[in-house]
Amino acid sequence: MEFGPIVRALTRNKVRVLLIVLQIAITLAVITNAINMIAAERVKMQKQSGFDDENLLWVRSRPFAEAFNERSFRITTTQSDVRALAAIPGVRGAANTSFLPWQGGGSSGEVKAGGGDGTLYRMQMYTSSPGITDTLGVRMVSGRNLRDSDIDLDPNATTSAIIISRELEKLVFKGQSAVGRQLIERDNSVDNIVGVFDPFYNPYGWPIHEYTYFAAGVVSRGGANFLVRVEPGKMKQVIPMIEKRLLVVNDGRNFDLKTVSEIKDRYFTESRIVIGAMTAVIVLLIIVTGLGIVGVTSFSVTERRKQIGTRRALGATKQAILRHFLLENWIITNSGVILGLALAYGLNYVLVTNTGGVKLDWRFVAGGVVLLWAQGIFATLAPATRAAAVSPVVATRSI
Amino acid sequence: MLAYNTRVATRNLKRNPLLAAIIVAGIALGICASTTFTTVRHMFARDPLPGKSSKIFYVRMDNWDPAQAYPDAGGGTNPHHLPTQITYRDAMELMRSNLPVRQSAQFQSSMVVYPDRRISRPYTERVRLVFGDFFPMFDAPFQYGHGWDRRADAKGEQVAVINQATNEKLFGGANSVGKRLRLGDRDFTVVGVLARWRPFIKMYDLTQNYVEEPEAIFIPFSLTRPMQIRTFGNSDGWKPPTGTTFDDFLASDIDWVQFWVELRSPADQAAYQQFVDNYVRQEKTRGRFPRPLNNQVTSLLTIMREFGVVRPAMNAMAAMSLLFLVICALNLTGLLLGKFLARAPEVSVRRALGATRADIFMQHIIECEIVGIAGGVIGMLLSLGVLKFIGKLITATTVISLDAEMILAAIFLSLVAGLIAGLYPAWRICAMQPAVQLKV
Amino acid sequence: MLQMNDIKKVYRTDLVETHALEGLSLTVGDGEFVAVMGPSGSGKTTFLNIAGLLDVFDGGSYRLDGGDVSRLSDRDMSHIRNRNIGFIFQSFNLIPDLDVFDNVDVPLRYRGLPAAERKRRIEKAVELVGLSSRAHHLPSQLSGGQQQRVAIARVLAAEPKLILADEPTGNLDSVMAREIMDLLDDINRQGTTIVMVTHSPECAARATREIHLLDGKVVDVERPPALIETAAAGK
Repeated sequence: MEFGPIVRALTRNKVRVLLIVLQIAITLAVITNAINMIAAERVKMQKQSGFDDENLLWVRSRPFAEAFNERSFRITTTQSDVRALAAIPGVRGAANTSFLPWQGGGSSGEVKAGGGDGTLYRMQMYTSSPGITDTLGVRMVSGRNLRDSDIDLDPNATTSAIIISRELEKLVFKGQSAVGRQLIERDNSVDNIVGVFDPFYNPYGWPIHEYTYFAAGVVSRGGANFLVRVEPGKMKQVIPMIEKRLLVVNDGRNFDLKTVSEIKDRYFTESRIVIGAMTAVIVLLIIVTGLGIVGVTSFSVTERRKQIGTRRALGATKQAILRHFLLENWIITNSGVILGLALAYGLNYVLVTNTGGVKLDWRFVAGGVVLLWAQGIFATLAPATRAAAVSPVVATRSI
Repeated sequence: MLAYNTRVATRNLKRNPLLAAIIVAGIALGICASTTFTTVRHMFARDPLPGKSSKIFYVRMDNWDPAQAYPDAGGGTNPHHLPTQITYRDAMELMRSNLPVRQSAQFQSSMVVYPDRRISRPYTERVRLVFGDFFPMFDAPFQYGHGWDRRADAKGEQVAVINQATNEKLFGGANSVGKRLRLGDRDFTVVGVLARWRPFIKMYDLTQNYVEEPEAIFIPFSLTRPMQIRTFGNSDGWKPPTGTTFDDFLASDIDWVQFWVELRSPADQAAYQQFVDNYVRQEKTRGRFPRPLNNQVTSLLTIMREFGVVRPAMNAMAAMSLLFLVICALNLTGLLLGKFLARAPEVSVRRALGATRADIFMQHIIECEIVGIAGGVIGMLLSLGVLKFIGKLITATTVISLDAEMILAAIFLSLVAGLIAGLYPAWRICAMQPAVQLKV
Repeated sequence: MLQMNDIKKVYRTDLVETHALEGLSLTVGDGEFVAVMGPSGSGKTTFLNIAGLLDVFDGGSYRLDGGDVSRLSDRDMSHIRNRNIGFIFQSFNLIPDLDVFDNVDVPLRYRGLPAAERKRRIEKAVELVGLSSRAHHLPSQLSGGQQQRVAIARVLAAEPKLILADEPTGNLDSVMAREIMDLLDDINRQGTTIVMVTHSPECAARATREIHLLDGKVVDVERPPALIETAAAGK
C-alpha cells in the first residue's frame, strides 16, 4: 500500500515517533522479563514434595511440667501421643518426627557408604517413628518399612535402623540396591538401611533437596513434634480434637498447630510477592502504553483533520483512512519491537548476572511481541475510526 | 507573573479533565510502583544502626573440614566460603580480648516461663543469651531499668531483660525491675524492661529468619553451661563431638554462636583481625583449624550484603519498577507534546500580545509539575496501601511504611519525572514562531 | 513611526525558495492611518508579521518608533509587542476559555502591571467598545462584531503606539464592519498610528493613505481623486 509515504511522514515527526518507539521497546523489555520472572517462580512453586501436603498437619508439644525433664517419661508420653493422635476419627496416620516439610531447611550431615570408597555425601537427616511413610503418603520401593522394634532407646547406641529416599540410594549406591547396606556417619555411628522409599523433596539451603533418611527413634527433647495426616476434607473437624486428646495424655504442656499448607504458603511468600507484583506491572504497563498510543494517535488525527478531509475529497475510502492509521501504528510498533528485543535480552543479562535471575525463554519474548501487536491494534482502532469519520467537507473549510 | 502562569496552567488542565486524569494516573502508577519496590528493598538494605554501623563487626572463623570448604547454597565450591557462626569454645576465648569497646557472643534458645499461677499457664518463649554489652551495642531502648554489667556476666548472675509485651503480660506493664521471674528451673531477677523495639531487620542475628521480632527475654550468655541451654537456631558441624555430654558439645567444633564486636573506630579492624588470626594460629598448633587461615572480621553493612539480606528478587523488582516509571515518563512526554501542540494557536496569540518565550515555557513547565506533584501524591498514597499489604505478607508484626527518606525520594522522583517529561514539549511549544499560527 | 528599508523575506523548504518580500521599503509617519492592499500572495501577511515583530526577516533594515529592531532578541521583541504594538486579526484570536475581562487582561498581565491599574484599564477599554454589560461573557457567547470589539478593547487597554490590523472586517457583515471601522477612526484620531491590511476598498477608503503590494514590493498606484475626497470628508 502506501508504505513509503507513511514512513517518510513518520520520519518528519521524529521525536513524537521516537517517544512511542522507545516506550514500546522498554515495555517489551519489561514485560518479557516480568513474564520470565513469573514463570521461574511458578516452576519453583509447582515443585511437588511428593507428600499429601494439603492433608498434613504439624503439631508441636511444648512441655512445662517438671516431669518432662526425665528422658524415659518424655519417651513414653511421646509414644502415647502418637497413638492418641492416630486414634482421632478422620486421622489417617500420625508420626513423631523431626521432619517438617516446606520449612525451608531442616537438619543435615555427611555420610559415606559402608564398604564404599569413602566419598562423603551431604544429606538431610531426620529421626522418626515408624508411621512416617504412611503419614507423608510416600511408598516403599524396596526393603521393609521401619518397625517399633527398630527403635533403640539406649542413649549411647551407635547403630540405628533407617529408611532412605530413592534419590539418595541412586546417589550413594550408584544403581545398586541399598537394602541391607550401611551408611557411616562422621561420628562413625552406623545406620542400617532396611528400606527405600519414594518420593522425597524438601527444599534446603544446600542442594540436597532429595537426599534424606528417616532413622527409627523418638524425638522428644525440648518438646515433641508430630505430623498428622487427615482424610481429605476432614482438617476442620480434626484440628479442635488434637489439643483435647493430647491434654488427656498429659496436661503439663502447650501446643502449636499449623497445617503444612500454611507452612508452604509462608515458604513461598517471596514467590507470591514476585508473581503478584510482576503481574500488576504487566497489566498496568499494557494499560499505560495503550492509553499513550490512544492519546498520541488522537492528537495526530486532530492535527491532520484537514489533510484527512482532503484525502477523502480526493477519493480515499473510509477503509483506506482506517488502514492508513493502522499501518502507521503497525510500523511504529514494529520499530519498537525490534529495539525492544535487544533491550529485553540486555535487561535479562543484567538480571541474570546481578539478581540471580533465570535466562529469558524465547517463547515469552514471542508472547510479549504478540501482546504488543494486539495492544497496538486495539489502541489505534478508536482514533483511527474517528479519523475515518472525518467528512470530506473539511477540505474546503478555511477554519 | 508566576501566579499568573500557574493560573493559566491550572485552567489548561481543567479544560480537558479526562486527559489530565489519564496523565496524572500514569504518573501515579509509575510513582506507586517505583516507591513501593524501592521501599521494600530499602527496608532490607538500609543501615539498621545509623552512625555506628561501621564500628560494629561480625566475626567468623574457618574451622571447617580440611577436605572441603563449607558448602554454599548453589552447591558451588568456593574454597573461601566459611561457616556463618563460630564455636562456643572460640567465642569464650575471643571474649577475653580487651580490644573491642563492646562485644557479645550470643544465640537464640527457647525456655519455659512459669508465671504467677493467677496470671497464666506456663508457656514457652524465645530467649536470647547475650553478654551485657549487647544492649548498648545494638541500641536496645529501655523503658525501665537497664541491662547488666560485666560483673554479672562474669558471675553468671540470674538476671533478665524482658520486652514490653512480656512485661505487659506478666507484670501488667508496671515497672517490674527487681521482680522475680521463673525461667526453666531457676529464678531470675528482672533488671530491665525494653521499650517497644521492632527493628525491621534483626541485625544481630542474620543466620536465621531476620524479619522476625526480637526475642521476648534476654539472659546472660554465661548461663549456657550451668543451665545446659542449647541453641534453637542453626548449628553446623563437620566433626561430631567426642562424647554425648553437654560439655562434650561445648568443647566440640560445632558452630552455633554469633559473635559481634564494637571497635573504637573502623581503623581498629586490622588490629582486631590480627588478634583473631593470632588466636587461630595458636589453636592450629593444637591440631584445630585444619583449613588455611581464613578469619573474617566484617562490618555490619558488609555482612548484611554477604548474607544476602536484600533478596535478589527485591533488586529485580526495584529495577523493573524504575523502568516502569521511565515508561510512564515517556508516555507523559508523548501526551504532553500532543496536548501542548494542540494549543499552538492560543500560545501564538499570547506571544503576539507580548508573552516572552520564558513566560510560555514557564507556564507549560508549571503545568507538568502540577500533574507531576498530583501524580506523586496519589502514587504515594497508593504505595502506602500496597506496602501495608506486602508488609503483612513478609511478617505479621511489621509495618512497612514510608520513612522520611523515601517520602523525599518519591517527591523528588515525581518532580523530576514531571520536569523531564515536560522539558521537550514545553521547549517545542515556546520555540514556535508565533506568526505561523495566527493567520488561520 | 515605522521605517522599513529594502526588507527581504525568503521561505525555504527542502526544494523551493519562495521570495515573499523582495526589497520592501515603506515609511509610516506618526498618527497615520495606512491601508495596505494587494492581491493574494503579494506579501501582505508577511509584511504584517514582520512589522509586528512576529517573524524575522532576511535582509534590509527596520526602525520602529525611532529604534532599530532589525536584530533584537526574542525577549526584546516580546516586550515591544507587549508595550508598543496592538494586533487586530481577521479571526479575532480571542482565547476561547477566557471571558471578555480576562481576554483584555492578557497583555497587561505580561506587562506586569499592578492589579488595580489593570482593572482600571480593562474597565475603561471595555466601556469604550460598549461591552461593559458583557464583561463576563465567553467569546462563544458573543457575535462576531462583539468579538472583534473585544479584540479592539484588548488593544486599547494596552495603549500601544502602533496598531496592526489584518482584515479586521473580513469576517463581519457590512453593518458590523462599519461599526468597527468607526472605532478604528476614533482611535486614530486620538493619535495612534494604524496600519491595516485589507482587501476591501471601502475599508481602505477610511485610511489616510493607501499602499499597494505586488510580488513582495510596494507599487505606486495613483489614488482615485474621489476617494481622497471621501477620506477627507471622513476626517
